[in-house]
Amino acid sequence: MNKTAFCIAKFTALEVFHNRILWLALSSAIIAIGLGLFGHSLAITESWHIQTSFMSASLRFFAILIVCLVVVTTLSRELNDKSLEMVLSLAIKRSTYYFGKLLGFSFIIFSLAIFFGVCMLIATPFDNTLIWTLSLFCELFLVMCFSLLCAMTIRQIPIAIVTVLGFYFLTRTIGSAILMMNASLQITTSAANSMMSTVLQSISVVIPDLSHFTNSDWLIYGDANWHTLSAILLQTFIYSFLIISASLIDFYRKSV
Amino acid sequence: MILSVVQKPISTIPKWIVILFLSALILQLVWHQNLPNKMAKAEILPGSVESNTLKVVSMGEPEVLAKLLMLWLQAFDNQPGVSIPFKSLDYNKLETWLSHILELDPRANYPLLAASRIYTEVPDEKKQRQMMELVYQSFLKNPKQRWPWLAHVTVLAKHRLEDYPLALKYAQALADNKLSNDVPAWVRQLQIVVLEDVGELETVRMLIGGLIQSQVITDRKELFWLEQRLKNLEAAESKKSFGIR
Repeated sequence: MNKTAFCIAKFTALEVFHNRILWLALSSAIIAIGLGLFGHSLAITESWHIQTSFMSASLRFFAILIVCLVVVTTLSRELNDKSLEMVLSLAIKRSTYYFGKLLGFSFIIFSLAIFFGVCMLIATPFDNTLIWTLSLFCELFLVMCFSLLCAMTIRQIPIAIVTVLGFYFLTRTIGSAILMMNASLQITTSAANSMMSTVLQSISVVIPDLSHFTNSDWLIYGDANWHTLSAILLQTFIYSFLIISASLIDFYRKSV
Repeated sequence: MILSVVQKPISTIPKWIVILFLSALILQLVWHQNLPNKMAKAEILPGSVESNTLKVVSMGEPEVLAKLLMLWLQAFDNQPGVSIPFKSLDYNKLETWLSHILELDPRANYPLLAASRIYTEVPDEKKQRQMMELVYQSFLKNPKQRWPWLAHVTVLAKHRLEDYPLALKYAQALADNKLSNDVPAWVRQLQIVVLEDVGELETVRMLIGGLIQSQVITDRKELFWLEQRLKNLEAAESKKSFGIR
């Protein structure tokens, strides 16, 4: 089983590399560095902070976008080309196929996180950048797992991509949205507000709060520490298990 | 079906497609030529949205949004094709924007630098005072980080506005808040300088005496300066009492 999974992982990674992901990552890094320098040149003070924040925020955004697009399009193509049916007609367990894919994409996102981390070293010290990079990997891993789930469940590429990006937006804003809702509840306690607050609270239970991941202030003010990272690792561990199990349930139920 | 990489000659394209393409190209050129010339139009500074909304929009990165907003605000006077003097800006909206940016990134110095050094440069006393008050209120929230900007507006209030009570209010705030020893001596002594200008010599004498006795000041040069200041004051007072001019 392990050998087969590794073989699938290897070919998944190779396919992604053949799709010119290196050029995409390089272009993203150049744009992010350019944005950082642009911000630096506009600022009259704290120019270094501005460069760092622009670079880190844009690199993180590009990384999320790349992972979402790569995972969804690669897997959708495989489903539409009937490659999946061919693989599953062999004596391969569905879980082996799934974990092979997961491993292959994990290698891709690990490489991407390391590459973007090295880019950040231009502007920030090593310690902070290391924590930021590991956190970026965790964030990308969760997005990758969710992208896999969406690509397998939703066959249409645009809808799958929008769903992943919507999920990402929700996970990054849910914390602030709840705070905002609670603040408004203190002023007016209307039924609509209470209901909205309950809905938000319920959603927040089943999604991770990614606003605590890969923050730019770690690089600007050196806020990050290993304790922060341990909480992030734990959240990644728990939530990735949830998505992986959901994906496997769905995958086993599919009549491919 | 495998598509050939080698392209076919243009002659194989149906004529109607070529004609359509050329007509569309000509139409586009004519259209562009007839477009009215772009006029530079100054935009009014929009009102700020609530800081909570900004926090949501920042997607967990309030510092990044704060820095982006600060650059946007800073460049608002220099819009494409038109330059707006700072005095034309709506300072109420400007104040709200700066406050919200500070809420997004409380450790940033940029908004206070802009408030104290850029937006106070307008030839409008009311607007200058508005920015100074913003700096003062922000200082009260985090004196240890924001003292440089209050020190700057204290000097502005004293020398530019020549509003000694206002300068004294700011200088007292600087003196009342326990600032660390990293703060330059002149900042801690601003209160003394302003009080002298106001003519409160007795208060100055008490303050200097108190400072020397409290042993808060350990720097020898600073102590010497204070002692000299005290001697000068005593000399001035004795001259005054003897009626010597």
